[in-house]
Amino acid sequence: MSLRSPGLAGRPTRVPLLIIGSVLCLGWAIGAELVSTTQGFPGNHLLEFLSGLAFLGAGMYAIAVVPRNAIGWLLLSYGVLWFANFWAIFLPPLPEALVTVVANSQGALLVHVALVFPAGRIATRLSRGVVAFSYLWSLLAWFGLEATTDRSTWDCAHQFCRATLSLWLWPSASAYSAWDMANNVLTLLIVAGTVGAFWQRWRTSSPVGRRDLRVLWIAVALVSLTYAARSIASFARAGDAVFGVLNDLQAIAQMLAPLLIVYGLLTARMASSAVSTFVADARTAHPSQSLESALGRVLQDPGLRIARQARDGSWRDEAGVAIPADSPALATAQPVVGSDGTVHAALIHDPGLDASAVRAAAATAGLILENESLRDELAAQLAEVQASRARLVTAGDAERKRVERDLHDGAQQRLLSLAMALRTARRQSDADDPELSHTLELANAELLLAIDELRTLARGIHPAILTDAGLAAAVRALVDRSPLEVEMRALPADRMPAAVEAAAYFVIAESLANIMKHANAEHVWVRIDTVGGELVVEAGDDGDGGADEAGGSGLRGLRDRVAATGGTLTVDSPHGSGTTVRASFPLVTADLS
Amino acid sequence: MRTVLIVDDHDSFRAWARRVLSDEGFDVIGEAPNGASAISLARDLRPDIVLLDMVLPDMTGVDVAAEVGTSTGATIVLTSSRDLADFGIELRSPVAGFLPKAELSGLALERLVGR
Repeated sequence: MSLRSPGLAGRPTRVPLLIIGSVLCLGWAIGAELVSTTQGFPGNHLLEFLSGLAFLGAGMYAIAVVPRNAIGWLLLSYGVLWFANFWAIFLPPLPEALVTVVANSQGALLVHVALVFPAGRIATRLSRGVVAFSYLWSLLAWFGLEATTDRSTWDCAHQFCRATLSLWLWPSASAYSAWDMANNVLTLLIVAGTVGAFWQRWRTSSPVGRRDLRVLWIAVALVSLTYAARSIASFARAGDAVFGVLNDLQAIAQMLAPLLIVYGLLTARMASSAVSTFVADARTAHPSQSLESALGRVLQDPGLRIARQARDGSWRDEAGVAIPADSPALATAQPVVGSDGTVHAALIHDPGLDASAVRAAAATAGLILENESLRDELAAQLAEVQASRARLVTAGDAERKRVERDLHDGAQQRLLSLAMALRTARRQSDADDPELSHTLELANAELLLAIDELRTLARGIHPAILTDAGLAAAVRALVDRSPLEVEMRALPADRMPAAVEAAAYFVIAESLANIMKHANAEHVWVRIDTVGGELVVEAGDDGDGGADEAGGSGLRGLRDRVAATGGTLTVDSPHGSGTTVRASFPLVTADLS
Repeated sequence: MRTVLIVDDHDSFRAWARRVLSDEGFDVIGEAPNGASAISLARDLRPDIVLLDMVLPDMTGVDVAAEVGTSTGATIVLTSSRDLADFGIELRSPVAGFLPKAELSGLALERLVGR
């Protein structure tokens, strides 16, 4: 699994602005470097160009990805100021000198970046103080230097000889020297203050916070070292060659710094917009994995817990461990809210995590929990519907049995008594009245037909043999009565749950009735077998085939009946190749007996 | 005259069966509405024939037949308003045969048990 960059997907309106911004940045950098080269500015032009470009590029990228985070804008500003020195020569002398003051104060921006990383906000009072002092002193220091520069030593015949504030203020070699010394001392102090503030943040950071700050350590260390080296070299009155090397090193360090910072920024953010997809993917890929561990892994916070509130108001995590309601962790937890505004849970997380990533993870968790809740609800409803259907079938079977029993014990017995009465009456009738005898005989014959029809009807409603002797006996009796020649392929004698026996019986009865009516079959067979914990019932023939389930309610009704017991029914009936109706029933089904 | 014990849980059937068989030369010496009383009466009365319903409230006709046949040696004729095929059983001694209730007559009974 890889962390997806949030990119610019879904933000089409920002893309043109970013393209324009990037083109402007590139133009600003290339133009400045052309000015620097053609106007004879000293220094390593390639390194200068690449360093400045690194800040501009990193700034633009960070703005594109996290526009609300100040770091992108700070990096961009640094890049813009980096090249501003060169462009300033086209300005009138005084603005040129002022731009130079501002542009040279750019180091304060790095201090600012270091102390707001990665959230983009200043977290501690010390950091705030260091940043404010850094801006103030940088401007003041460069103002002082520009105001006291002794231009008499400059070769102002050279076109590079630019304007300084000392043209209007107090050119003084001694003041400049003292100011320069003070600048170096305070720069070291600012570096120390930055490191101190950073160290304070490190000490008070959670494991996740420290993880995020680690990258910045490297960037700050690199840049701080080069600044410190320059100040020390200045104290030591090092030669131009040393400063040349230090300038190059500083340029390289500053080229790497913005790249490291943007990398760290994106890593720390955990690409919040990708969290949802990532978590969903993780859950899909590993359904057995708990949501808690999936989120913990995504946010790289092994201590992350999902607290859920029970009906009694108490809070527990996924493992069932109680969480006190007044726990500080719960107070700062991110609520996990469903789409309907219901609070499903609370995400207890490391305070060092990026807030937007936590919000995104909580939103995703909300959807997942809501989805799980709906799925559980649906499963419960489905189970209830299935149970209800099974109960309906069981109740229907019981009702059929009752009707059959009532017919047997009621109407059928009365008709039988009537038949015997008629026979007695016929015997007792006057031998001289053959017409009466004949009428009584006819009446008796009609009555016997009626009794037979009633018996058939009762048997069709629910064959008593099914209840008394089971499926095999009932099917055997069915086959014995059938005018079809039926091959019995297997017939286990074991009893099954009543609902299964009834459904299986009616599958065969209906199939045999269909074969008799429609199939024109020569060979008919029935198979009842138990295979792998299932009762499999088949009725087949070699007749016309082409049975259409939509053509009548018989097969459809059978399918519903079979499904009510948790079984399945298939009908294979190609035209001209016979029909096989196959029903299978799970035998490990509760509450079917 | 051969003696008959009629065993059936339906009163009207017993009444008409008694009349039909009595009219046709049988001596109906007793009636029983269930299996337990049938076994008891058969031991007491020692009938030649027991006309025995297949389905009784307390026992099956087959079980009663086994008991009565063993203890009294009576000829057993099973009867029912249903077909024999509806019971999925094969008849065996001491059962002499099966007589559908709708076809009950002295003549039919004689055919089954022999004169």
